[in-house]
Amino acid sequence: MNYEHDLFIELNLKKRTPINLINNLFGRELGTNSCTLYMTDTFSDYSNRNEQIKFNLMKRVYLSVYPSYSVLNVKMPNCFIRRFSPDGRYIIAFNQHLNGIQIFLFKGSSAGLEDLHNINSRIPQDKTDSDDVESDQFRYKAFDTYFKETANLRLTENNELIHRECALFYKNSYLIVASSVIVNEENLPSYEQIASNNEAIHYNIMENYTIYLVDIKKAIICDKIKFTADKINLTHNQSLSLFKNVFAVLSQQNQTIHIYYIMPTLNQDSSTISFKFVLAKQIGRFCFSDDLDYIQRPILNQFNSKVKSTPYSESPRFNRRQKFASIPSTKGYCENCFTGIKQRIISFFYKEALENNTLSQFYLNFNDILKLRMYKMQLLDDRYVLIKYGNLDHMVTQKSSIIITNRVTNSQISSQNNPSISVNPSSSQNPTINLSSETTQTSVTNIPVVLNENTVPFFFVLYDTKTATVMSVLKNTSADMLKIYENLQDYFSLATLDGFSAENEQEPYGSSFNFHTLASNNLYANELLARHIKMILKTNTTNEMTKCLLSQLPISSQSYTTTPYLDHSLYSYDEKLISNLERPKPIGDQIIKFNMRETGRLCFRLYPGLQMTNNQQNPQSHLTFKRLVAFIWHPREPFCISVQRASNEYNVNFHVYCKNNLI
Amino acid sequence: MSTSNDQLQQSTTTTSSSSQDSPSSPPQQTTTTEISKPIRQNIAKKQTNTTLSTSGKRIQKELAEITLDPPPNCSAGPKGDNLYEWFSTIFGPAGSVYESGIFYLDIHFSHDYPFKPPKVTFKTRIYHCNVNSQGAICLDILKDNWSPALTISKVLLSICSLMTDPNPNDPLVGSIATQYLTNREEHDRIAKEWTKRFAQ
Amino acid sequence: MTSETNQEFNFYEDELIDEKIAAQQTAIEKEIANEQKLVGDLIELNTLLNEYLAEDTVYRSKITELSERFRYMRKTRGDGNCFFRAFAFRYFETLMGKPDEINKLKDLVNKFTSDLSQLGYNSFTVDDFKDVFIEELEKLNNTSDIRLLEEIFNNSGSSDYIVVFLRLIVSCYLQNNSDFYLAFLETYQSMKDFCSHEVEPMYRESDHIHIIALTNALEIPVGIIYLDRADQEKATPHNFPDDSNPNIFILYRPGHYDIIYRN
Repeated sequence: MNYEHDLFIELNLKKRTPINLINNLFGRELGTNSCTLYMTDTFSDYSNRNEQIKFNLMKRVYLSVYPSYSVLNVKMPNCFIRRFSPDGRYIIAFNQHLNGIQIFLFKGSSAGLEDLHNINSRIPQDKTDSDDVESDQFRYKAFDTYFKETANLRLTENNELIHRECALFYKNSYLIVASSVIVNEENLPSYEQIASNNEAIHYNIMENYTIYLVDIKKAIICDKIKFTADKINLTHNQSLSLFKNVFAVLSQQNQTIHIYYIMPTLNQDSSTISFKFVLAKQIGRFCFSDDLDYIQRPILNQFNSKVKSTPYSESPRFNRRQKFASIPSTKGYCENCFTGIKQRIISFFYKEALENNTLSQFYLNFNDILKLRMYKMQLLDDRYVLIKYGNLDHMVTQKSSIIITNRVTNSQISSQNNPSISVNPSSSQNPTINLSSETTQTSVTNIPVVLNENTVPFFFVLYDTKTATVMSVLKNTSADMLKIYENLQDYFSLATLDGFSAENEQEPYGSSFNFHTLASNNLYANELLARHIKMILKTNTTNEMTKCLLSQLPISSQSYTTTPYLDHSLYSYDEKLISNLERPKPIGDQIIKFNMRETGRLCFRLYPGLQMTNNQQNPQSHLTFKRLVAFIWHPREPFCISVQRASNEYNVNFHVYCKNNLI
Repeated sequence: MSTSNDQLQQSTTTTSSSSQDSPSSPPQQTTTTEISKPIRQNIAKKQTNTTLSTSGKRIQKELAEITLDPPPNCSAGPKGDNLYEWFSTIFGPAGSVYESGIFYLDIHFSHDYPFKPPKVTFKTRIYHCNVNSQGAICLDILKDNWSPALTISKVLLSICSLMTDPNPNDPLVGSIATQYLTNREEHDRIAKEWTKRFAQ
Repeated sequence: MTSETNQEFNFYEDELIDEKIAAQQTAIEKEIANEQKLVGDLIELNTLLNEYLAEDTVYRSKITELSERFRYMRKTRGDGNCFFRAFAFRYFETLMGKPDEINKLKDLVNKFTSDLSQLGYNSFTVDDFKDVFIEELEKLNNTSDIRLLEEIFNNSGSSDYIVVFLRLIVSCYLQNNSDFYLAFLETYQSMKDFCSHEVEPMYRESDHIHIIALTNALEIPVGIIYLDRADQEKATPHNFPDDSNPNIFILYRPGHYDIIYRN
């Protein structure tokens, strides 16, 4: 007869799951943690998801251990800190000249505990106190306390600069970065020879790109891919996509998706394995990798006497055609036929129109279909690609000026691909060969435009690379697409399936810590999304709301952080200030509060700004203008770096684990 | 050689714009190919607002006819609001090697239509001895044998029958024609392969 | 590498020859169009003298002689349709203000239209041409104003449609009477081939057989006056049919037909 027990029953109270650290540690070890949501149905399609739920519960330890101390204005070495490796062992930075990377070893979130204990033993604080000498001094040692440089690797050549916002990890210790340099157009061959198909967009600002595969541990470059005279949009990994060992690159200028496999290869000393990029296929002008070979296969010259001789076959014209007619133009830009992928997209629209009996609409809107161009893409798995298509008119703005060139042009291309030449509307892509040696052109500078995706129409194309079919095309106002996005958001973010796995490759779905709480797998995140939608719908139409939400797709690879502190089931926080989508947010000096989801209690605070005290305040700071802050979370430990940027100045804060829970 | 084309462009633009002033006499002998895009759109607009020229009226009638009663497995229509630029779709004729393929064609009517033939080109790659790699079609009624009594519907039908029965005696791609006559099996195999790869 | 590109280049050049030919043809037509209206104004035959040099005595004497019998003429555009256009204009001129005659022609037109559809011609287009033909014809029912006729024939839309329809009539007539006329064909094996190559397409020049067929089909006689360098005193008229007394006269110079008016 437990008196307490009876009381509980009478009062109808529920026993709260303990958040005691010891309890949680034991629970993690034993796999308990007092919950029965662990599902073992390994045969279902969602089995890996259920695994995630199990591990999600194991993250309860993180309710007791968190980054409670903010070291403000850390003295950083001269470099651009970028990301932690997936296992958290290393952090990557781009050096100050942007021509190489610096690799730092992370010493662990407990590396600064002793110093912090000394600082806080007198008056516990949760951020740097500029009045206290020791506290202030820690700012200068903080970086060296937590990090140790292991390598400084020079990557680029030829004046290329590494793109600051592009970095992808392959497995735990390989990094993919990219560098580029603007090309002087006069040094290039004519555009017809650069462009690979007739959908290519002629941007006047072209760059040479190099993509590197770097081994972080050994600090060597494993492989490189070079693109000359191209335009690839690298901001936030946009045109790159990595799934397991399939690596895709979208060339916006050439309107081609290059798909590489990262394959192991034996080093020259035959004892160690390295990796390299192997080009598997290109989606653009052709859809199968052997299409071009197939066309150019020489047709057997069947000049035997059995051939019936007609007046035509005797003519010299016939002989000439005989020899050369089988060789198609290798200049894809001059080709009249649709590119492989465009043909398939048109067929999809056509079949849809046939079914719905809207053929005349199909033809009326046909010009818009012709103008579709690839804008963004992502891999959905090793076989399916999601491509976002926009309208060419929106993607390019033009600034025209008349110039006279002396360049010998072999062909003068008409219409939409090069609107600078007077349009020959007889057929949109038919070339007419102009043998002039001097041309007067209206030069149009085609500048790429970053589209406001909330206003312009887009199409999502689901493409199967194995069978080269366009499975589906949906508009960005489609309610179906929105539903898919809401329900399967975590599949788009490749969290559960991506799996850059542990070294031994045993885990089929990779590290289970690749788990982002998104609206599709987390109740609280879902609620947040629903609230967000409601708010948008107050002042916008459903279509506009759909466009706004779908502008998130396609999701760039590795855009979500896996830190447990941004897990919505563990903590609740203000999504406007910080979120698990790694993008800079505009923040002033606001404090970010993390409340425990279960109890609502405040657990810890992050101070992303400079947090000046009143007597230190900058006379101008009464205009608390918002600056952009980017957060770099350690994938699993209580450690975070916040980088605040104001014009050219950077202010870096560390948010570290400190034993005393100060709240 | 090339400059005459340019001069033609310039001279046609002036005549076309001036002849718009007299609605009763439509532009004389102008061809759309030489008129630059903004002016052509202007003409098309004016034509829809005032009386259509004879070519416009005739094309309108053909549009009505082909929409109501299209030839089997074919369809066509103007791309957008320009009546003189059409697009057409042909399903590979059943029983031919192009079966199960979808072939797209560009159709361009000149302002002399129906006295001059329409220009039709394939926009889908096809392995055919009368169609070259730029999509140009070698069909008599599209060149010398064009009669104003023919319609685009008839043209599409002829193209369909050309696909079923190529004409190797007047080929555009000699090698394919030779192959058709001497190694028919191989020709058919390659044509089917092309249909599978490029005409889906 | 360069040889490959050279090959491609030739390949292109070859295919674009057709296009260039077409472009050149259009250019030529444009030039002609700029110089000559479809059907010209009424002028004196004597003005033809200006086209021939003083040394060209044969022509000049013939012209002078001719102009005494045929004072006036109209020039037509030399676009290959000149015979049909010249004939049509003159014929319509004779029908102006005569509703009965016009009705007889209309009946004939309807008969040919149904013949054409029986031959398998697309009634949609044939009716289109017929409608325009009759529409223009009916405008002449109650008027004798020649300017109306000039307007009709100088408007390329209506003018060309009339020519097309006449060509169709010729084609229909020849096919219906192919047994007789097959003998006249030289290079063509079948009448259908001949018609689709030489009769129906626009801009195809007219020969004896066209003239015979048209005059027989419409039951209207025509006199063709040949003006050439043949060694004769004066230009000679040939009547189609031989024994007829035509009202319509066409001047033929090698390659071209014009309208001439007997005094």
